[in-house]
Order: sequence, then C-alpha cells, then structure tokens
Amino acid sequence: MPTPRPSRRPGERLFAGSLVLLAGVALWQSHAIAGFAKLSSPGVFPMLASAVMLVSALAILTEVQARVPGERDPTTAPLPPRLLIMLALLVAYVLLMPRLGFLADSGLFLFACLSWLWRRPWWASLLVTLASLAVVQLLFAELFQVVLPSGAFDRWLRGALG
Amino acid sequence: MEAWAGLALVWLDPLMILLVGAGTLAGIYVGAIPGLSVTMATSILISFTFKWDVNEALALIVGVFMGGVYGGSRTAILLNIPGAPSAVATALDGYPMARRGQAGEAIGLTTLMSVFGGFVGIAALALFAPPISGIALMFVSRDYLLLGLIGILLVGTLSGESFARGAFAGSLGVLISMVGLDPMTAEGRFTYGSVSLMGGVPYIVAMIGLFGVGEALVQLRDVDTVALKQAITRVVPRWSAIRRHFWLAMRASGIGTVIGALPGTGGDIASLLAYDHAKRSTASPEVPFGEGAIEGLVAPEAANNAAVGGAFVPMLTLGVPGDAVTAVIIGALFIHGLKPGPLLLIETPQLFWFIVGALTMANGFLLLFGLTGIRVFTKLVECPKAVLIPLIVVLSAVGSYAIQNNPVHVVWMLGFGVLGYFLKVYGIQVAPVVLGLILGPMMDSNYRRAMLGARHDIGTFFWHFVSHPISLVLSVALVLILASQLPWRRARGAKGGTPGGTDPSP
Repeated sequence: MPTPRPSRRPGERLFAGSLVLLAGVALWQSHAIAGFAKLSSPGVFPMLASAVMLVSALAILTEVQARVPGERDPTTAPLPPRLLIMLALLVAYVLLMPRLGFLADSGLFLFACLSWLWRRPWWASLLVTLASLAVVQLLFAELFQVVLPSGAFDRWLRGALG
Repeated sequence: MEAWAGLALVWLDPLMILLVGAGTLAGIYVGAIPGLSVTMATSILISFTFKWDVNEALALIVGVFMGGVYGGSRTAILLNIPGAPSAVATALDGYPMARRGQAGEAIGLTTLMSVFGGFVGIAALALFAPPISGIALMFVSRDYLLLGLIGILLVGTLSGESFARGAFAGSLGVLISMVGLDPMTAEGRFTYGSVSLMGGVPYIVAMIGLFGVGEALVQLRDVDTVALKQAITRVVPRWSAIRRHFWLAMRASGIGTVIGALPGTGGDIASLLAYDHAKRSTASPEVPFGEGAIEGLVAPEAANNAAVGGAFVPMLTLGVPGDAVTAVIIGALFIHGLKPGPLLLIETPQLFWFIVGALTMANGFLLLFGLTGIRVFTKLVECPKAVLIPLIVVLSAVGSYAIQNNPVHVVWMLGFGVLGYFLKVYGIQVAPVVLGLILGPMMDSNYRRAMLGARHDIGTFFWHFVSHPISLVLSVALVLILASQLPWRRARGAKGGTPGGTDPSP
C-alpha cells in the first residue's frame, strides 16, 4: 500500500528535474523518427509514450516541489560513499571481464567485495569466494551448459597449462 | 484428452518431477532470503535455461514461482522481514505469533493455507482459462491495445507512491521497448547507426539489471542489519484450527485468484486485500489483529498462493501477464518460440495442461518441504547481505551474458542496475518498466493495426472503441481506473481510510 511521505528525499528535486529533461529529449527524438507524417507511422507510439513520460515527469516535479525538505540524514543520502565504492567496483568488474575472463574477474570482484563488506578474516572471504566460484562453474558451466565470458587472461592461462 | 496428455507429461516423467521439486525447494529459499526475489531469480533462471526443452525450463520456473511466493512468509514469521513483497501482510501477525513462542504453529498453518490457496488458484486456472481464451479469440487489435494499457496502468497505480510515478515508469518501459528496428517497416528507431542498438534492448537483460543489480544496490544501504531468531516448537497445525478457518481461507483464496487474474496485480496486493478482508470479517478474534491473530496469517497466505494460479489466466489466455513474475515467464515463452495468447490453448493445449500439472505438483511439494526442514532452514537464511550482494551481481552478470553470449549486455545490465537503483530510491517501482518493456511492441503494432483499420481517421478510430461490445467493456474499465486516480478521488479516499489506489476492481 502506498505510504504518504510528506518530506522530500535529498536530491529528489534534481532527480525529478532530470526525469523531465529525459522525457523532453525522448519526445524530441521520437518526433525525429517520422514527424507527424501519418497516424500509423513508426514514430507515433514512441511520441505517445514520451508525451506520457513528460506529463508524468512534470507531475512528479510538482509533487516533489510541494514536499517539505527532509532533514539531512546520511542513511537516506542517494549516493552514500558505500554505493560509490560499489559502483567503482562494478565498473571495474564489467570492464575487466573481457580481459580477465569470467572466473578470474568474478573471483577478484567477490574477494574485493567480501573483504570490504564482510567483517571476517581475509581467509574466510577467500574461502567463500573460491566456494562460490566452484558452485558457479559446476552449476552453470557444467550443468546448465552456459558459456561463461572468456578473456585474454584465461585463454593465456589455459594455453600455459596446456 | 489433451489435458491428460499434458498432465501426464509432468506427473509420469521422473525428470519433470525432479525439476519441479528442485524448483520448489529453491523457490522457498529464494523467497525466504531477504534480498533475493522470485522475479530476480526467474529472470536470471530464464537466461540459463533457454537452451533447454521448453517443458523442462517451465517445470523449473513454475516450481520456483510457487515456492517463492510461499517462502517469503517464513522469514516474515521468524525474522519479521518479509522475504518477498507478497509476505508483507504475513509479518503483521506472523511475527507477533512467533514472539509468543508459536513460530512452529504459525509456519505449519501458513504452509497448509498456502497449499490450500494454491489449489484454489490452480483449479480456477484449469476451469476458467479455456472459456476465457474462447472469448479472447474475438479480441481485435484495439482490444489488445486496451489490455496492454490496463495492465501497465494497474501495475503502475497499485505498486508505486503516486499515479504519476507509475505512469512514468510504464511509459519509460514502453519507450525502451521501441529501440531497434521497427518490426512493421524495418525502420530504425533510436538506433543512431549503432548495430547493437538495432537488435533492440533484450528485455531479459533489462529485467536482470532492474531486479537483480538494482535491488542489490538498494540492499547495500542496510547491509549490517541483524535479525532476531525464534524458537521452533510444534509445526503440524491443529485440526480444530484448520476447520475453524476453512471459510476464511476459501474467501481469501477467491480474493487471491481474482486479484492475481487481473492484469498487473499479483500476490502482494492480493495478500494485503485478503488481510484487510480478514480484519473486517472477523468480529472477535482471539488475539487482536497486529498482535498475532491467526486470521491475519490465514487470509494473506491463502490469497498470495491463490494469486499464482490466477496470474497465469491472463498470461496464457490473453498474452498479458498478471504480475511481475508472469511478465518474466512470458519472456521465457517468447524465447522458446511460443506465443502466449488465445491461440496457445488451441494450438498447444498440452502446454497449457503441462503448466497446470506442474503448478499442481509444485503445490504438493510445497506441503512436503513446508512442513519439514525448518531448523536447517533458519540456519541457511541467515546468509549475511555482505555475502549475498556480490553473489547477486556475479549471477546477474552470468545471466545477462548467457542469453546471446554478448559482452555488451553485461554493460547494459550495469546501466539498467544503476537506473533501477535511482528509480527505487526515489519511489518509482521498476515492475511497470518491465511490463512496459514486454507489452510495448505488442501495443505499438496493435495500435497501428487499429489505426490502419480506421483508415487514419481519428474519429473512426475512437468510435471503434465504443461501438464494439468487447472494446466498450475494456474502454470503460480503463476510464474507471483512470478516474479512480484523479486527485480529488484520491484525497477523498484517503479521508475514508482506503486510498483510491488500493481498489483494483474496475
């Protein structure tokens, strides 16, 4: 059930503003597809969708403006430091995957996350990392026959191991 | 005859029995572990199983769905953390019961009522889907357009903070689904000369990003929460308790089936409405509601599992998913080359009966797994979020890559994850986005067919919506839903105690 939340979240005005901007750009780009040429052209439905987006984004902005600003509380910040670190780890994880291959890359990512988030000795993190990799390899690569992303590193490793 | 053939496919094949059983057991844990959701698990699972035979994949997914809707109640009772949205109402009275030392009894009764509700939902599916698909055969393109709109609107209005947020999410999904080559004219839309955009946005990748990574990022905020444990005593419920609450369970199952069958509404809303019904219809509960009333446990649990069978009705007969999980399952059917809709029951009736059979069996397994292994369960569910979050990310990456072996999709998954995070943080639900993504192309092509049928005349186009009986009924439903969301109605509803957004009956 929707709970009424009278106070505004930090950064919510910026968020609502960017929704309006996004919807505006979407409407402009949808119009660029076929203009108002025909009522059944490929551009009509995207234009309708982005028009609804624009109207509702404006409504959200009005809603947000009407709320009282919430107190500055570090637990409700939209971008707490923890999230920024996680995002950096995620970007590194995704970008390194084609180089390291799935297993090595995921191993590094899991170990990094666990050593940072989980308050246990490093060997416990290492153990969980290795166990998870083993389960993923057995369950998905062997049982489900899923192709896992390979990379320059594991191709080299496989070559070196013969 | 086809019915028996389809049912036999599940019931007589040891592999299928194993898959349904494994799915149900896995589903119970997925549903129970806070931070893992059935929608998340199903979207990742589809990417792993799309190379399988369609029956095998469905057996597993159906099991996970059934188990997951039930599993959320366990953590709701034991830890006061609903493992899934459909178990929110269960925590209201289930946790107080556990605090009084009746955790075992609460779990036992929940299991029984879930199984009971599940069977009512499945019976409704088996009885009503064939006639509904008969009616659905008479649907024309504008009716499908209306159904799509109704589905997105219902999800949007019922699950979010405000109507505007739901409408934004739904239309955003529709817009994203437009990316790629237009299926009717092969013209590029939002492709900007990029080859990888021409194929469109694979909705499974978007789903994994929004439900998996996005949710994991949200969970990161309260990574350190520690839950309290409860002692387990008697699990098998008393016969007198079952007999006394039979009719309440029956009514709650009815509510659950109907709400589940409405396009766009699922177990979460069904259980809240059933809880509300129990509260109103129980004149003198032994224990007040909110302090451990057994009625407050029976009603939502019967309703949310009944909603599972109900949710399959619009998906299999109309091709419009009943809730977020069936939206994902529809994606699975598409991937296996099947087209859910009125023709599904005519062309592949054995598939319909296969699903009915798999659901029935999953429900049977629920009884078995529900009443056993609770002590082991409490140990496993305590998996800390610090371990869970990175694991969700890794599984999501495997899932997004596996569909087309395309490394670019992993980047997209991350993009959708970040989008999903911000939407969630600012009170916009991601379920309407996914529904828009799946229904968008269907609505687009049906809109254009309807417009061509009206020879590009707007007057004729709208006249058709009111001059044909089926279209008229659907149009009226759409207008009523929209009207219930008008600001003055909402304000009045809020004063009366029930916000306008919680009455989904059109």
